Amino acid sequence: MSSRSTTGFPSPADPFREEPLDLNSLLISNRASTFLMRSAGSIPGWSIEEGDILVVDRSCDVRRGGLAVVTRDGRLALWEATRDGAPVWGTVRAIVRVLRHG
Amino acid sequence: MFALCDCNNFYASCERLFRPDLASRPVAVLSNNDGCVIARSSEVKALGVPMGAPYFKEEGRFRHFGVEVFSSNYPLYEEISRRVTETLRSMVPDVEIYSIDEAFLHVDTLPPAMADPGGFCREIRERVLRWTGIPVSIGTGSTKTLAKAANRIAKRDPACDGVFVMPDGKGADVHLGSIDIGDVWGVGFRNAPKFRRLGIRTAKDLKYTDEEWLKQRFTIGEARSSRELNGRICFPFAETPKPRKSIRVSRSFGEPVTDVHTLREAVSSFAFSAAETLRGEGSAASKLHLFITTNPFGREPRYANAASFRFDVPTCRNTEITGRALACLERVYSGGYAYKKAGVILTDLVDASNVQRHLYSVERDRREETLMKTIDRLNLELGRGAIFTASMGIEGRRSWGMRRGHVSPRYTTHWDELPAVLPPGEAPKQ
Repeated sequence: MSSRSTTGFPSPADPFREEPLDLNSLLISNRASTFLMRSAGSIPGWSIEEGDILVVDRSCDVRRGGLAVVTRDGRLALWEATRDGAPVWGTVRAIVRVLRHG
Repeated sequence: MFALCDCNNFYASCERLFRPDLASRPVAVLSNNDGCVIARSSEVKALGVPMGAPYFKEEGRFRHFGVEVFSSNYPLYEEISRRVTETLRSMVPDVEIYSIDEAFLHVDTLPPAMADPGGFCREIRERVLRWTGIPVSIGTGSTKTLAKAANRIAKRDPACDGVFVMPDGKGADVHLGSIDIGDVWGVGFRNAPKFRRLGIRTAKDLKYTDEEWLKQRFTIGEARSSRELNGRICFPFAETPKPRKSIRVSRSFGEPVTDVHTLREAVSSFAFSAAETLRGEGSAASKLHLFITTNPFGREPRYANAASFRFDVPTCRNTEITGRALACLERVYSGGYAYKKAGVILTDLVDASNVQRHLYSVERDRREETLMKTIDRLNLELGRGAIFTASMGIEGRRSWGMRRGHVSPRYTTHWDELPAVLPPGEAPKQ
């Protein structure tokens, strides 16, 4: 019913058209530097469960108290940033969980 | 001024991105079908493994030195390449993609870049590494050929730290003198021996060779290279790449194919893939070529043949392209041979939007077009191979499929292949 395909009168709502919400715009601020990963375990303090998707951005700095992906013993691992300066792979910006029973 | 940004050992760097354990280990990537080595980390280069070395020859050495071997994972490389380009565009508006791992940057319009090209390139390098995890080298020069030469120096000389600015005029000579004639952009390895015989051994020698003399002995191409080395632009910045002249999908089979049914599946699959690429570029093909061949080096009876078909109206439809490819196959197929390779080539490409349509087939065309678009979208959203034509056979049962014994996950394009992250343990050591 988009007004673009009508042949009659233009929609009075046309000047008020807005883009519908897109989850990407909420979760991803930098497409080039954002990678999706999957948590291999649960972390109760962060309400993270095994299988949750982590939105990891390499371009932003991890804040003290934030959650980061680091390199540990040659593997990617989560790290609660308790101090500055640790070598991080990226910063966890969001956690996504799709409910399977829904 | 041009800058050439080139990803270091790109495929190997992609394989390392989600595998920190490979950070300082030797990594090699193999071509389709695990045939030969097409990417080497610096450690593998240091072992003296040449580019294109057949894998079976290197296998023993690789095992001895603990080289981590990967089959090529193009979905991953393609996606990381897109990220590198996007990062470059965040700093330089004019980016000309030259190949999957190289891009020319046009920096003339950027005052900070012109004021301090070296500093600006180092910033680009740091951002690409930080955002995408891919190390790059950048060389600048007043022409593309000089930028390419500068890039070579940036990559080879550790003191450069990945960035080299080629000076203008005579200042460039000492650097150009260190570059072998065969490594000059546009010269090519075939002409290098002839140049050497004539006493032209380096980029500097070519720079000071008379242009008319070059035109007589070689071609206009070599004369242009010489002119570019002198700082005169022959290859201007072109943001939109030229449309391709042909699309070729061919593959060596994992196992030799002896029956026509399997060959039909393979040819259908190549035709499908070629048509998909064709539509992706907004082109239509006027001509189709098909070839089949046995192993040219084998001891079994040899056979090779090819057939072509010209479309009345240029097309990008699966049905037509697959149908004609199969018809060509029937014409050239001969029983009793073990086929090693087949391929479909689409040529005489035109802009699909300019194709003259038959007067009576507009409605059918429209429906076909919708179908093609739907197939392409589903394959994009659900992953390659979600929709295919029945004549392609079913994956997993395709004996002709590629041999890819060492392929890594499609980390960035498939939900069930995402990199895994371990829960926190102890704080990492600094």
